[in-house]
Amino acid sequence: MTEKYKIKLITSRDHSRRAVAFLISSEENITAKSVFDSLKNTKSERILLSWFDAWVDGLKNDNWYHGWNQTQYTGRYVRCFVFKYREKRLEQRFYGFLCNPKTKLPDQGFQLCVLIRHGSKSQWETDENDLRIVEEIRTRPAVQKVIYDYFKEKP
Amino acid sequence: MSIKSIKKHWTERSIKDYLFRIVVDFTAQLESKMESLPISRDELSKRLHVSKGRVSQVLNHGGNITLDTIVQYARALGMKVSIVAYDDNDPDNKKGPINSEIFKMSWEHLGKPRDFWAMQDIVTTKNISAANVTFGRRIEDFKIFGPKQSSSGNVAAWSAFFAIESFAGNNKPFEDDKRLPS
Repeated sequence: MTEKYKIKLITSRDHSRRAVAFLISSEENITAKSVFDSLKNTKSERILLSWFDAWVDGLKNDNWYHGWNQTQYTGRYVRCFVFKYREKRLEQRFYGFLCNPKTKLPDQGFQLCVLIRHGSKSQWETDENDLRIVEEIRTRPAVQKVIYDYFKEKP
Repeated sequence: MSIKSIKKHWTERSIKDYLFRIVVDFTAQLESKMESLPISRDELSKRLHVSKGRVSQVLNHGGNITLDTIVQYARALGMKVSIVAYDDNDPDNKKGPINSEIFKMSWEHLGKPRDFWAMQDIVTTKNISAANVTFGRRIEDFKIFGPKQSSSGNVAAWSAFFAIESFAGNNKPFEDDKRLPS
């Protein structure tokens, strides 16, 4: 049986604290990877890759990427995350979620950002629909399984 | 492990990629400074005698940015620029460049030494063992040749980046630094 979902790391697997990955699927709501691939060798791709590096390295910069806290949307999207940039006068967004796929010490704090969906819009404010879709996909058992299987530690 | 299995960082694809990444680090430092002063893009354009559009272009990573531009923008904000070459034991560039903010924070944390005398004082008085490792070669050169000849040729560097040296602000301990992840 063919797997419905795959993940592909875009940052190094060797980093001890964080990594960024794409969720790959033919589903119409899962668009991040295909849009990112279409940006190859463009300024937008380089911006995103630089943002990924900065987040993995632990730099704080809410203008480039951020999550949502308990006070926003009554805490429904605290696992959601976004990388953002501007292109052709439009706000571009890559939405995803954060998880801790390594279960054994001392790597339990390892954080993975799984990017799912691309959004393009003229206004700055987040479209809650994007977050709703990401959150729904995040909680699917098949999605969780593919992530944890990818990082499954050898016994 | 075969050579093919060594996954390189995206900045290894081309010099253009590498330059883009270090310019992003640089402009992030400019924006951070602009926010802390505070100073608008409009005001910065007046100080630089360039159009607001040109300032936006630079801050939005558009087009080529020269060393001249880098120095002009940093100086307009009261900052300085150093070019630092370093060897991080990653000759294949699997991990990418180290963010220039890391160098800046490390320098601030050490008390912003201005010269090799200050650096030697820090190493001597604080007995920093990590500094002996990190700066060991440089301090060793310093002891042998004196400050004027000490800084060249002692970094086996193929990579370079630009670090801004700001003389504003206090030397805060790392744990209070808002730039660090919580």
